[in-house]
Amino acid sequence: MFKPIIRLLSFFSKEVNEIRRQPKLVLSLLLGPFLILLLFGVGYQGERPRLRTVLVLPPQGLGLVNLDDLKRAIDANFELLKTTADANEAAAMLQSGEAEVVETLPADIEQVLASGKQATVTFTYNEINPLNEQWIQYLAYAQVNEINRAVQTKAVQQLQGEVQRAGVQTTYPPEVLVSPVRFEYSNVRGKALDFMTYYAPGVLALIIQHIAVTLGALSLVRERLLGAIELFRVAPVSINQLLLGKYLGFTLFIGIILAALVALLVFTPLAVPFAGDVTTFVAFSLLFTLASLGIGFVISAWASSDSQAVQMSMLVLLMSIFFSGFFLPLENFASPVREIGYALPLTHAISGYQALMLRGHSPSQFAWEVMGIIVVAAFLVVSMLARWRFRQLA
Amino acid sequence: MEIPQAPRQASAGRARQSDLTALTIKADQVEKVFGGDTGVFDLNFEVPAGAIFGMIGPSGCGKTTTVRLLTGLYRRDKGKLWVLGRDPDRFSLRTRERIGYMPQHFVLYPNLTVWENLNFVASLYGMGYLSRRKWLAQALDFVELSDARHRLGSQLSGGMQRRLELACTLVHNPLLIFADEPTAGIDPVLRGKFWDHFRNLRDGGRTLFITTQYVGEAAYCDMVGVMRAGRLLHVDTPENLRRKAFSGEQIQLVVPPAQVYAAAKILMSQPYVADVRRSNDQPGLLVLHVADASDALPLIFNTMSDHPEISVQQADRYVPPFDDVFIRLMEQAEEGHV
Repeated sequence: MFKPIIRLLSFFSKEVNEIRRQPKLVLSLLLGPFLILLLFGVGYQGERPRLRTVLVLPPQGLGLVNLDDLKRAIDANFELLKTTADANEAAAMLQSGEAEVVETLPADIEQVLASGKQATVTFTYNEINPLNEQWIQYLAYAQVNEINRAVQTKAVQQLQGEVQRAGVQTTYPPEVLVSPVRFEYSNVRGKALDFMTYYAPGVLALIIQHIAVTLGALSLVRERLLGAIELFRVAPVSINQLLLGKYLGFTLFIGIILAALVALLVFTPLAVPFAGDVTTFVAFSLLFTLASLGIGFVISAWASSDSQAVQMSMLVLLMSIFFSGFFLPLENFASPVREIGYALPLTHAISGYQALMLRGHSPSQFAWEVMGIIVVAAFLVVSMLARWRFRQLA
Repeated sequence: MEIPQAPRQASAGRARQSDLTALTIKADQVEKVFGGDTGVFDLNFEVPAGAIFGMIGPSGCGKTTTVRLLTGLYRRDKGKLWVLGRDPDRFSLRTRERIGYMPQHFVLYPNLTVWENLNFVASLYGMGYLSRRKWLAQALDFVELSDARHRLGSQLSGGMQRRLELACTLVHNPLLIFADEPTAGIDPVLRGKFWDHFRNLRDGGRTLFITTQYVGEAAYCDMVGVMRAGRLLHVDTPENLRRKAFSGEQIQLVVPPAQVYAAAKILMSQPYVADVRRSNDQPGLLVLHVADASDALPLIFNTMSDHPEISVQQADRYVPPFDDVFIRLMEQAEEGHV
């Protein structure tokens, strides 16, 4: 009566014993992610890039625009390397990579405006990074707005002076006339989290998924290469007992790693908040671990060698980084690719862990459901694939 | 050395007896083809309960394939097979529990200790946690690995690994044991010990199906199957195989070298002597081929007593080593005698 349970537990205790015999592996799994997160927290600035800029002024002067005001405006967004009147020198600096942006101001803005035309400020750059290009264009837009506001304010001031001299009283200050609408904002939480804290649940989920996928991926393929499958096939043990035993052993191990990592995140100077319910966190983590192990086992049953299994695990890791919303929002992807992201356990673990740890909410219903579907689907696929692999001997 | 006895069998003598009577292997025209002329063909043999059946033959002749067919690892293409009264393709859990299998290569875990490896295999066979310890200890004692129980699999010598595998094969007290080249790559002293273990197991009522490349080991078996190129050339007792190889038995007769031709001439004329050969290495030694040595020896003494000019210094039955038997059988097969 108890024999099936004993057989299932044989794989469980075998996996546990094998893992505990590798203290370096356990240590690297525990300390490695912690150190990565620590370095990320200490090192990541989370600010927009400071672009090295050369300002080219017209030899005739700026007219309406005050140079000091302009420099202050530039300095807020760009790192002003040099101010020059020599456009060729600026172009050479851009070409050599010494400067990233050359900002060229037009000559005699006042005269151009008087003729009813727009004066053009030119931003030239030599950029291959699309994100930096977006930044330059956005900052140029913001800076030109600032210049426009300064020019308009000065013009309104002049106009008001002339009107007042003509005996007409003006009630509105020039700033209100130039910018009649302003904005205010407030975060109901008080303040957003720092980058390290915000990314911590995501990094935790990424690490747990990677450990689970790698352990699972190497598991069956190693049994096969060792020749143990031959022994199992003669013994009175079923493929499902083998799989469930392995699920159990690895889940316990990953659970310990996860608990230790959460403790390191929460109770050390990293002080990542844990606002949610512990039971919900355990239940969600269990589902997440089983889903990740399932993907690992599918790889393991499919791969012909352990190097192939490792390679496939790395592909899952890469895919997870790109399509899980870890760095790039999932909404930015077109429909068929977005669905790939939804098929990854990490996608739901990131949102679930962030909700649980940072907001104190339960993961969304969608996250629970999809995670459950991945667990069941992966088990069915691996059970089928492993059976096929077992029969290959015949 | 005590053979481990599982509790159910130690306490249920009647059940054990019925197991033994049912215990047999029967192969009838079994064939497994991997493509072209590779595989095993027309396997016909029976293994009686409580016997050691040795399968000998050169590397790649189909011994492992035969074991895999018998254990259900391979599905046969043709023929019928019964192992413990069942078709190996449809073994029940109960039948699997009665089988012990020692694969050709070390398949135990290098990161587990000797005890943990053994414990793992015992769990695979569903042995209870509390009752298991005693049988584990006995199995380790049986293969003399008790002192190494805490050593990791990776720290064992080749011989110790094979002994651990044997312990793993026996830990659940199987009635039928398949051992695929258990003595390959180990020293002669350990090989001798392995055969002692196998004989003890046989004497304890187990049936053993053992493959080996060391043809000399066939002499330790009760029944021997000789394989060549996927075909079973002979299945017989070692003694009968010797007879088949040399068309009977041999007697060595030693006379003074000067009388060797005269003696040979006299003996050649006797109806009970099939052939007489002179040894090139030892002058004065004659090898007589007879149907039955025990019948022929008194006749030889009678004949030689009629010839007092020949002084017989020694006359004995000669048992050729199994290596010679095997070579002779292979030669016969090549000559098309089989």
